[in-house]
Parts: sequence; C-alpha cells; structure tokens
Amino acid sequence: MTEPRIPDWLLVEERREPPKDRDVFLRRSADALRALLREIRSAPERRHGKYAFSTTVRLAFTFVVVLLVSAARNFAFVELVGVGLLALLATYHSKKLVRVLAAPVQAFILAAIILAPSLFWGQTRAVVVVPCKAFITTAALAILAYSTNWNRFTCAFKAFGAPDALVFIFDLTLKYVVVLGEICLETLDAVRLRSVGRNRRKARTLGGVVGGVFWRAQKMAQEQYDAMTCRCFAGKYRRFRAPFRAADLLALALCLVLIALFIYLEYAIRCSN
Amino acid sequence: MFELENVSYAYDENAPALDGVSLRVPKGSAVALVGANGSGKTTLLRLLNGLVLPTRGEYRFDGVRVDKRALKDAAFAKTFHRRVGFVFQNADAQLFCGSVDDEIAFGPRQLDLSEEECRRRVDGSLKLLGIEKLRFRPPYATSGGEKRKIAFASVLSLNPDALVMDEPLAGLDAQSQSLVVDLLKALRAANKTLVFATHNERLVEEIADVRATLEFGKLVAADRLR
Repeated sequence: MTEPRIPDWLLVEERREPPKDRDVFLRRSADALRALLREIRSAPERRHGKYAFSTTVRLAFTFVVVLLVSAARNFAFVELVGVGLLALLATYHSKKLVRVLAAPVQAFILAAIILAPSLFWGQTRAVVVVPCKAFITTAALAILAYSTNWNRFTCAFKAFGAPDALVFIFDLTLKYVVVLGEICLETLDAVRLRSVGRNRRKARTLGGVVGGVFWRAQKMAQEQYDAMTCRCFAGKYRRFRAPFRAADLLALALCLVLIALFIYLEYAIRCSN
Repeated sequence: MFELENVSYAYDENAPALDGVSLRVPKGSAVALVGANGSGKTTLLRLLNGLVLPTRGEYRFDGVRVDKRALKDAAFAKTFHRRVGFVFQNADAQLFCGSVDDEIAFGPRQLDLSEEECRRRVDGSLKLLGIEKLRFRPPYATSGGEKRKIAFASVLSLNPDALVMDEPLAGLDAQSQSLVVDLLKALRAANKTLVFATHNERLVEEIADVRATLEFGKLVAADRLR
C-alpha cells in the first residue's frame, strides 16, 4: 500500500489563539463523576475484620436504629443513641470521619434552616429535636454505606427474603453504575480534549454523551442477558449466604436492648403526661 | 516537545500506576510504549494529555509545566488540547455526535474556522482514513474498526502537532491496519510527533524511533531504533 498524501492544512503548523468559551460545567461534571467512581471502586476494599458483624445484621441494626430514632418522642432516647453513635465515630480515622460526616452535617443544617421559622412561634423543641434526628439517622446510613461492601448488600437482601428479581436488579445496578459511569467519564474526557474553542452547541454535545451512554447501556444489557442465557440462567438467582457469627449475636442483643429502652422511655413519657 | 522528569502517579495510595518515569519526546519523533497489561502505558498517555496530573515529578510541554494551575488557564488548556490529539483505546467512548460528519467537524467548528475550511478538513480526514461512505451514518451504528477510524479522523481534523494513541491498531482488520501504519508513516514524515502504546511489534518496527518499555509503572528501557 502506498503512503497517503497528507492534505496541505495538515502540514501547516498552526499558531492560533483559541476562541474564549465557558466550559466549567463540563469540567466540574467530569470531576464529580470521577470522585463518585473512585468512591464506589474503593468499596470492595473495605474490610470487615475477623470479628465484624455480617452485612445482614448491619442492615437490620441500621433499620432498627433509623425506625426507633424517627419514632421516638422521648428525647432522652435520641440522646442515648446519639452518644453511642458519636462514640463509634470517635474510633474512625480522620479521613474516613470527614467522608462519613459530610451527609449527616448537611442534613442537620438543612433541617435546622427549614425549622428555624418555628422559633417565632415558640417551638424551640422542634428546632433541636428534628435536626438531631436527621443527623443521627443520616449518620447511621452513612456508617452502613461506608463500612460495608456494597456487593454484600445483595446477600443481605436475600436473607430478608427479597424476591430474586429485586436482588438480580440490585446486583446489576451496582455493576453498571461503575461500568456506565466509566464510559460516561471517558466520553466527557473526549469532549473536553476536543473542546478547543467555542462550542455553540453545548446542550447538543451533552445530549450526545447521554444518548451514547444510554445506547451502550441497552446494548450491554442485551449482551449480558444473552451471556447469562448461555450459562443456563433460567430466572432463579442464587447468592452466597453469609454464615451467622458470634459478633452477630452481640449486635442482635444490642438491638433488643435498644428496643426495650425505646419501649421503656416511651412508657415513661406517657406516664409523666 | 514532551518532557517527563521523575514522574509518578497513583490512582489511590495503594496502587502506583507510574513510578519515577523520566522521558523526553523531541518534536517530530515517534515513541512506542510497550509493556504488559497494567504496566502503566495508558496512564502515561493520559498524563501526556493532561487527563491526569503527576502526583510527584514534573511534566513539561514545550517547556511549559503542565499542572493544575496551567490547565485552569482556559487559553492554555485549549491550545494544549488542540496541539495534542488523543486517540483513545476505546473508540466507542470517544464518539458523541449524531453523525460521522458532525463528529469530525466538532473540533474545527470550535476554532471559528470558516464553514468552507471546516468542510475541507472533514473531507480530507474522511479521505485519509478511507471512510467517505460513512459520512452521514451515526457513529454508534458503525463497526468497531470503523469507529476507530472515525476517532482518528476526528482528532486529525484539528491538525494537532502531536498524536497520542492508545493501541492504534486494536480492532482493525489487516487492510485497515496497513492503512493506519501508512498514515502514521506519512504523519511522521510531515514532522508530527507520535506517541503510542502498542503490543504490535510491526507497528513499533515500522514507525517508532524509540521503544520505551514499561514494567509495573517504571520505565525500564528506552531503546533507540533508528
């Protein structure tokens, strides 16, 4: 094959000033997505430790804490759980602590702002109680999310008797959030590298990125289904069930203590009324 | 043109992808990066394009240090990206427009070139890659090899001074591989700087001036071939 003739414009060394344009949105979107993917990718590395609770127990414990704190009328119960939570957070490394506390602090501030006008009507209790409850429940969920391998959640769902279809969808979602996120990030990088001047059709470009990711998602889903069919998938989705450990018994006992305390304190508040 | 001095990069603390790499790529030269999977070739190419920045060491492009501050300057970033074209390993991710024609014209249109000049560049790029017949097709509806050629054309239409390519021959049939090899030879003759990662020995022998070998993120050899 003969060497192709390079066109004249490709032989000229260009020295042109790029036209000015604003593309902060593109850069920030890519950076945010990159940070999110880094967070998800680091999830499998979270170690549970030899004596740690199983994911099923963690999920159940978190559910009970959120439910009881939300329903509590006696603030002493909220304070007790809050103290326990802070004691747990005190054992965290500073870097992890900052990550875990980001959402709860935001929830606290948001709830306080929303409830601030009630101060004018003398409702001081609500301004304290609701933000504290928001902080504790969000912190409980953040601790669960940051200290558990997300893939193990599917085992936990299965232990709670969730239908196969739901477990399967959750498993696939976890996988594709990462895969499609990476494709989306790569495409955003490609847009950034070729954004060498003024883009007059930004919305159209971003539409192309989203459309491309959607099209690939559909194609990958079809391929995945075909691959599973070839490997004898017939609708039944089995997952490994984690064994029950001694530490789990301790967590369940703590759970029962919390429930008993909740009932006692609620009864006490009723009697005092 | 590219100067790396003791450059290291890690995706996270426990996984160093590049470790103390020093490399000089003069203008008009061709450097092939070779090494096993996971040796850091793609990371090095991403670094040359400013997609990732060194966690240690220094990267200079035409004497200018490429760092966060430099890339925050929109004028520098845009000029840098125009002068350094990047062909991704996954061509699928590189294409985002509704038609091949729009895809190739995306860059030139941003440079405020006249529509006539844009057309000239699109036509020239399509012809160079032998994909004229794909002009009005949506990129996603083309085959893997065709997508790679479209990605090449979309980068060439910007008239970059340097071409950075990740596995430029991957997914191409024998005839298309020959076409790309001949095109790269012609580009090298036209004084374009070429840096590419590859597992293809024929490409290394026919194009590269220097074969840089990476192992576990370290540059273990830089052999001059011509």
